[in-house]
Amino acid sequence: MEKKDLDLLLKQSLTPDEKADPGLDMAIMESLKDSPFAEQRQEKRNARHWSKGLVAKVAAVALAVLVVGAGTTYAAGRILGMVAVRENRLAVGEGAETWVEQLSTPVPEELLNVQTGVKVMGGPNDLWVEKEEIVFDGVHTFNHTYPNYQTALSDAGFPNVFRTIPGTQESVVYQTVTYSVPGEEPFEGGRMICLKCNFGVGWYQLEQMPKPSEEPETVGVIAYSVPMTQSSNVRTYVSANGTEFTLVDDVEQGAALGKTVVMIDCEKMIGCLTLQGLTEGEIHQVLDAMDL
Amino acid sequence: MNKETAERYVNEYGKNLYSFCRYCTRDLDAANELYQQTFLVAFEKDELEENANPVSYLITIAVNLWKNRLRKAAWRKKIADVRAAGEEELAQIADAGPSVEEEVEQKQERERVRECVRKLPEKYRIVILMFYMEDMSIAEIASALKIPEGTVKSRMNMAKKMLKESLQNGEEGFGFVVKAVPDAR
Repeated sequence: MEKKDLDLLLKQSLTPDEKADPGLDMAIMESLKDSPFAEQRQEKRNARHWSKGLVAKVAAVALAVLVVGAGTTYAAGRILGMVAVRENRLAVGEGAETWVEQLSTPVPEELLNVQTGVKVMGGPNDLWVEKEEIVFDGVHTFNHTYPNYQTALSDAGFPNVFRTIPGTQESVVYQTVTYSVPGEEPFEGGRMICLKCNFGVGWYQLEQMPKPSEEPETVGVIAYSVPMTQSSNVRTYVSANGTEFTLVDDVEQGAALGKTVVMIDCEKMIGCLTLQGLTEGEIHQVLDAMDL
Repeated sequence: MNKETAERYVNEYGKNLYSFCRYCTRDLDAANELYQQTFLVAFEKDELEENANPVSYLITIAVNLWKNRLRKAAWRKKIADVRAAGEEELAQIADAGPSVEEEVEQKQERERVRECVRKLPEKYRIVILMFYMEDMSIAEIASALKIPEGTVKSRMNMAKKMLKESLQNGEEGFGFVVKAVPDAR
């Protein structure tokens, strides 16, 4: 058999002529319609949304609540705690095991009365590319978009927590929050860097905040939590440099990709790492790349 | 990505992706799941419209998903109860020959080639499918599989050598006529 005969035969034989059943295509379209990602993407593009109920509650008790991304809510409590895992919530900080019990099931975020401010492009002396202000019920959120993690760190004064950053940086946002409570002076509500990277067929996102003890605006804030749809498969992983992480899968009904959440409470930061669509090996690669 | 755009991609590139999934997985259920998962990942990443070669992009995702198999949670997704495509359908070839006899021979020949490709070890099968079925270049295959171009070429050569041997040995009762036998390289 000559080479060209085999080439020709392979080309003629391997035609992409198989078609999926229409029911399968319909299922894909239905999944797309129902996908929580679609809504999350839209939310991220439009604005950061605030839960009215949570904000009111926080204002009343003068605690900070940061909505830091698509559907992720940090609630700051008064008890410093360690890592606690519950069916619908993870928490870090001393005493979190007790404190987490006092928190109710996550309140679904309502998309109410969000005013998106004018976007401003950064000038030649600014490290940020774009700034956007979002206002909701007295909460002012400023999102500064940066070209990469390192420039955001420079502006925020946060420590670098990665030796190397696996994958490609998709978005880097430095967020600051100011509360305006009637009858009181406006007060700072916290700040954070949100780094999202594409890795493999999925992505991961680190929400990095300074330790509350180092932040004047978060004095009294001593623990953080993140809501989970359904915690499962709790496990630990000791990274290449000896840091032990607690990994928890979050099972979302109908979600196409597996999601794992790792909360981090260390000297450098309070952080929440969300990894979606990554293999266990890829998750370990991300954790191994961290320098805590 | 809106629903209309997603539907257009499914209609336009569904055949390429599904054919690849069938040969890659060699299993109907796995192919259905990989096909669905690939589109969902592509739509989630929302980069299809920016991509110059959507087929190559989809196949790259499919290969990565297949290689990784993701984690169990990623495969929990329910898939539609779809009708299994019969082997007759696999053998269907949209081709017209000058005579009925020749047409039958050609169909048999091509089905046998397909069968030999299905039997190739995975790493060889995938490069053959990417190159011949999906018209991907050596560079695109190398990029998708994250291997050097030289490795792609050597896998192609090895795959073709194995195919040639299978065909010459008349596996599966081959009726293939062997001519000269120079090195496939």
